[in-house]
Amino acid sequence: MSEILHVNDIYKNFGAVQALSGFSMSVNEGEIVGLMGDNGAGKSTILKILAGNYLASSGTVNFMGKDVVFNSPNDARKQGVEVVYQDLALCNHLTASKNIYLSREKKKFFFLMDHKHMNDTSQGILDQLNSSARPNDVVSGMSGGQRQAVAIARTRLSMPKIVLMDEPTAAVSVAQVPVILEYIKNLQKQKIAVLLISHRLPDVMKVCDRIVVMRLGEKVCDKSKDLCTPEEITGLITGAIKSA
Amino acid sequence: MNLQELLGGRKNKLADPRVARIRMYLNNLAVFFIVAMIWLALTIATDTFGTVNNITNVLRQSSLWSIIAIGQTVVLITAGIDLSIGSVVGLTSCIVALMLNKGYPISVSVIFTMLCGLGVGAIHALGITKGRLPPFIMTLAGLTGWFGVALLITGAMPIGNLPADFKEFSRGDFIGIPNLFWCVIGIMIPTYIILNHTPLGNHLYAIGSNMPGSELNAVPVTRTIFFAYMFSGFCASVVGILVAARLSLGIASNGFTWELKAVASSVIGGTSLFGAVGGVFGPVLGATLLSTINNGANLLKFDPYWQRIITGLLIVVVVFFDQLKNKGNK
Repeated sequence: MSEILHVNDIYKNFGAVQALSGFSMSVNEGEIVGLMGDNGAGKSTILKILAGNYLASSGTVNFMGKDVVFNSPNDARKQGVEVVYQDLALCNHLTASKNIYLSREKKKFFFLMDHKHMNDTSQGILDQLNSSARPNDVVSGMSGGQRQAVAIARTRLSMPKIVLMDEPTAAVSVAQVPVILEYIKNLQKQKIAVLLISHRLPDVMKVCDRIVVMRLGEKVCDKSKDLCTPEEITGLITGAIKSA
Repeated sequence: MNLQELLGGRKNKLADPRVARIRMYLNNLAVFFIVAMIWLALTIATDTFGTVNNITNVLRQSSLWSIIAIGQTVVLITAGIDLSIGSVVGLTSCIVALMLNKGYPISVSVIFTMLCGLGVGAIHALGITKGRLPPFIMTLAGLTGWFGVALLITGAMPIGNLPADFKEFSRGDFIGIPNLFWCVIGIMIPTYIILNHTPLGNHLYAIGSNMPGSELNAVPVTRTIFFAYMFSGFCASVVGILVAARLSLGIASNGFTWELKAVASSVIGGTSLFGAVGGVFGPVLGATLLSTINNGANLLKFDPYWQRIITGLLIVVVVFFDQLKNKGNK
């Protein structure tokens, strides 16, 4: 497996708050990497840097063999980075298809939205995800699972190299968790890498190839899942174990 | 439990877009019926309401309010508000009158005034997006600031002596429909297309629905907010020009308190003050209702203060129900 993402010595501060301190990690093609840590460890900050929402204070990001700076979410998307945010970042008043195509609407006659194309494609993606959500359904009236499906469907509009997922199982019912994990496994089969941020150790142990643990903005562990135990990971997250 | 049930969840009636659409149609239909009932009642109660002259007058007045209400609606959809509209109407009426007075051709004066409207909107958008000022504060500052500019450039004097061709337009009609109403149609059609059929329209609703989420999804938030406020400024400048033509006068107090008429027309027409809900037909119906109440109250010799009280009550009632609807959606 070739390396597709390498972040090196990333620092990020928000005023006096140091969110990331010399954080480095890599992700290989088709690899599922679990990124774990307590609240405030810096997981979402590194995700937002990779998604183009934040700029790193210093350090480099190498993606597909090139040093890159993602100045905006659009920059990241164009290079093949798709994101599922923790709060899903859906617009409640819009339909599923308008949410799926938000900011990359399909156009006809130069400026008009091609509603038919958008609805047909959205329907196809939602069918692939086995979701009963319909493209014309308004998000505000959807169930948690349908909303999750719409957020995930956004990542299928392009053929991404990596999908960043921030707590994808946090807001869904227990019964829906296996479906999302199955979806993550399916991405791997298509050689799409996944960076999975999660608090749920069982989920991470189930699907990830490698686990990276962060604490107070630093990496304290980076090893194959097969070499980790849940107790060790818990100790690393809480600080009971300093590093591994 | 199969996969479809897991990721699909239960089918929810609220998710059906037809429900939202029917709600909007019912709201517009209700306002339409109220307007029709008041028209009928006034025709019976007075000798003058049903005359061609008076109906044309009501349509002319509602046309002016409709245009600013459409501009306000676009801003309200983004969960913003433009409180400067009345002052911008006054300012632009003064600008066009001053230019015509100085002998500039009508076309140059009108285009320059419209550019001023766009510029005013751009300044508001700059304060909101780059200065991080709440829209309420930025446009409230505009309300007093642009009124001051209008007083300054005119020396607080009315500017009259406008060319006959300019004045003629607002009083004329085309195939029996007042020119002012043609202006409403000229604003309505492109606005409808923008809101419903362009990515820009989708972004306006997205920002009103979830601005942080829109930013995460690469929606060009700054550019879209600039469009909303510049469009509102443009609509206000069009009305400023039309008011100057209609009254043959440019004066800073033209459009005084019309920002509230714009908000009221828009909200009565189904636009939500919480953003992401609104269209172009509702504000026109809302403006027609307000101008009908105005006209009817005059004909029935009601104390003019009652007009303001009724408008205020209407806003309270409509926003109360909007709030209930909004809670229901959450």
